[in-house]
Amino acid sequence: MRRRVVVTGLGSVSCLGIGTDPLWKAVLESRSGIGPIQSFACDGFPVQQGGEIHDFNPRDFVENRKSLKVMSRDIQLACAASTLAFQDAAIDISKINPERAGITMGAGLLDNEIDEIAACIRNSLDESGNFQMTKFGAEGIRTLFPLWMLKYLPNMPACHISIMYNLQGPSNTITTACAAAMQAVGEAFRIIERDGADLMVAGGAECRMNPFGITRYQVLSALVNGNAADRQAYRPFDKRRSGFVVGEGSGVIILEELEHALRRGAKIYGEVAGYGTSADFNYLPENLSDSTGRELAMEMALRDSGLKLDQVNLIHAHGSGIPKDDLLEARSIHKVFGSALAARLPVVATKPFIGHTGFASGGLQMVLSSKMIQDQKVPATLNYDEDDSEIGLLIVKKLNEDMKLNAILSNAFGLSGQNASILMKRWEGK
Amino acid sequence: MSRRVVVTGVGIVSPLGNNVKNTWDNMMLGASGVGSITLFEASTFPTKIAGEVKNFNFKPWIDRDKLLARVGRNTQFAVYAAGEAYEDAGLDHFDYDPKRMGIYFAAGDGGVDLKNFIGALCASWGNNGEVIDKTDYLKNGVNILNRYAELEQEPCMTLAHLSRLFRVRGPVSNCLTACAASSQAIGEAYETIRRGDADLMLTGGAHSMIHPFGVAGFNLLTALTTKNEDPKKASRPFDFKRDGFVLAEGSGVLILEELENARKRKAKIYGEVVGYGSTADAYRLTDSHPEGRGAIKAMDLAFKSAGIKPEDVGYINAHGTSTVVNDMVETLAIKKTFGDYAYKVPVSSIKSMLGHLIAAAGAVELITSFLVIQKSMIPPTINFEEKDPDCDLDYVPNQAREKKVDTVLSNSFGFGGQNITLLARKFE
Repeated sequence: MRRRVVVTGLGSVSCLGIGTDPLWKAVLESRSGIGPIQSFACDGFPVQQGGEIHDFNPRDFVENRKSLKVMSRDIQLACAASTLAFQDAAIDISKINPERAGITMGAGLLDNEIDEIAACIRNSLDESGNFQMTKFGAEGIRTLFPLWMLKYLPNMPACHISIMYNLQGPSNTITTACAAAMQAVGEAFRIIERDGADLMVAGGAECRMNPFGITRYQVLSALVNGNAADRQAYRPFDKRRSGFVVGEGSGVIILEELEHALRRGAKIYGEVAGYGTSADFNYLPENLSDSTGRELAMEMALRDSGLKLDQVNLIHAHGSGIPKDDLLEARSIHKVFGSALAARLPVVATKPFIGHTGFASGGLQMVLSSKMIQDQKVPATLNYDEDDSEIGLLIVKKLNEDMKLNAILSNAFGLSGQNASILMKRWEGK
Repeated sequence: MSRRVVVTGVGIVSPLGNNVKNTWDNMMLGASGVGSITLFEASTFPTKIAGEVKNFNFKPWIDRDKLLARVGRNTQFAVYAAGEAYEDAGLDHFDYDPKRMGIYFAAGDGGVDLKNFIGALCASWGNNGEVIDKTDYLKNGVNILNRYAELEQEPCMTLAHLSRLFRVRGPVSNCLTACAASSQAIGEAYETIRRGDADLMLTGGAHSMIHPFGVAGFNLLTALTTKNEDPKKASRPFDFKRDGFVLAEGSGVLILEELENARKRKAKIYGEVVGYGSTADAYRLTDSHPEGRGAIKAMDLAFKSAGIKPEDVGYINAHGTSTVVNDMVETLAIKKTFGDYAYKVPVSSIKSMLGHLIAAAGAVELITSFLVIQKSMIPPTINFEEKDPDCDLDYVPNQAREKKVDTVLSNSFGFGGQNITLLARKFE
């Protein structure tokens, strides 16, 4: 018999607060956390708004000072979100079999701190200010501290958390860009299902809210264009959408095998019932042209869950805000559900609340899907005011508290062509 | 009934050759692929040697697909090795359903675009010339950085190219768990087929950290050997005088296939993947657990999933990095797992010849494990000259050995505590 998997803990850190309560409160008030970027001056940069976290103190979550020193902000956020998820799940770690507990995290290239790496480069310049590799080897390197590399290895969020919580089961790190955290959740689901663990920590963390990060996104033409001071510029599916606004954060959920959760009397948010993943052949915003991969991911998740098309009550869209990306997501929803059903299937995009958090986005999305299905409330797709006839979806414009939510399909599509969909069912007891 | 998973195609790019045959032949000779670093000026670095891929010609691929013109070395190696594996499996002449083929890969990063990165930084020194003016950097970065070079650094890009080039629409993922990554990818690809989510999986890894920041980072951690004067003797797993690993680069790719699918199309079968174990040390970032707790458990889980006993194993392909601690702890873990039999089973580390391919290491090692089964030859641990009392197993010192082997155990342990064990078995 198939082992069932439920969500029993939520942890999140975002520009809407440390923890899921402030995030959910803001979401119910239709309030975005996007505002002017403050941690560095970005005058003249085409995008000056971001989902920046201002009140985060990593020491609240990491007691060991030595560990803190080897954590980039991405890792700190991941440790914080995991700690919050364990608290929310009310798990006493000493009562869990450590060999049956594991972790899967979404990550990717972690950005260096610009001042740290610049000091190293500066010590590698000759008298005329040119970079010399021989000087880098002899002097530049020594500017960096011995454990420098550990701050930026993609597997380090998962490693730190496995050490903090004594997770001796499988540990994996998925690096599929914007699909990474959703895939991490999907793979954690599979591991429990196949009896590889009873409890999995899953999600992702990203901080590209720094000069390197936002510059790279701009170079890739992924960011919104228009008025740099516009706080409402992030508008997925809207006719005037033009890209995304960068956020930072971490979203982590605790997945448990159903009996394991019931035995310890855990609070259950919902059941992960289906996972689908697939590939596209295209990447780069301007090259997107084919919706096949997105369709396959949704179809696979649906098939895996055993639900019929008309049993899905809501699509929690990837909704990156990138013009063609949203168009292809819309087209794939039409193809999978058929035009009649698609016309009355509500779709919500939540990235305008916190910005696009990249590797973390699927984790934060699953935190929000869990809250939606538990509270039976669907938030607004912020800044959506003009229909695009090519999209043709029923976008949820205002907070909706009257919708019956038995099943939510959540999508995450990586710009590099990896797709992930997860179907979550309401938990109504056994 | 559980679906069985066999290997039907293999491909390698390594410091010992740019295909499977040359790499294998050189391993049988006990050759070393390590030499002075030529990819950048490393004369003042603490470590000046590495296992570089040599005489590598990627041009035919770029001629075929212009999107490959800007890819990193990781993707170049991956595409090249995947091309060999794909052809070897006969997939270029087989009309498979792209929806039933997936990829689970372990690609590293594409490497920093050094010239433009430094150019953008150096254009942005503030008034005092001491600290970067971040506002200036934003402007200069946008003007100077090359978008393709920036994009190709992301570790998801290898997967993007592989799925396009080899017509894959099914489940795809990329993991990056340091030195355990490609073994973990293969394990997860195996699980994907077992579950029925795909009939074919392209899997393995590709990595090159032989770039200034890679060597600098590992040097700072004092993980690399500094035996610069005699490169071919620098990687010496299990030897008393080992003092760190040698960084290397390359790719290993396997085509995994559901048995009935392979039989139906009369594919050549290298062997069967029968066991997979995955654990974490949950101990320390930089050190493995002193008693090999996670490693022992990974081997144990692999045996349980395969339903076989340690005594069935005819050869152990060790992680064997040539660092003092790894080789000692791995030896300890093997002894705990195998008991007295540990002294009777040959154990060798091909990192002695190749160096450490990091994310790609496990894939090349598993391919080697299948070749051992096919050819009844075991690759040596070269540079094994002086016995370490803590490492007292049969490491197949210096000379390849003839032996009929039906089952191979292959270990991979990642920096940060991920432990993966795979079991390869003769197909009958």
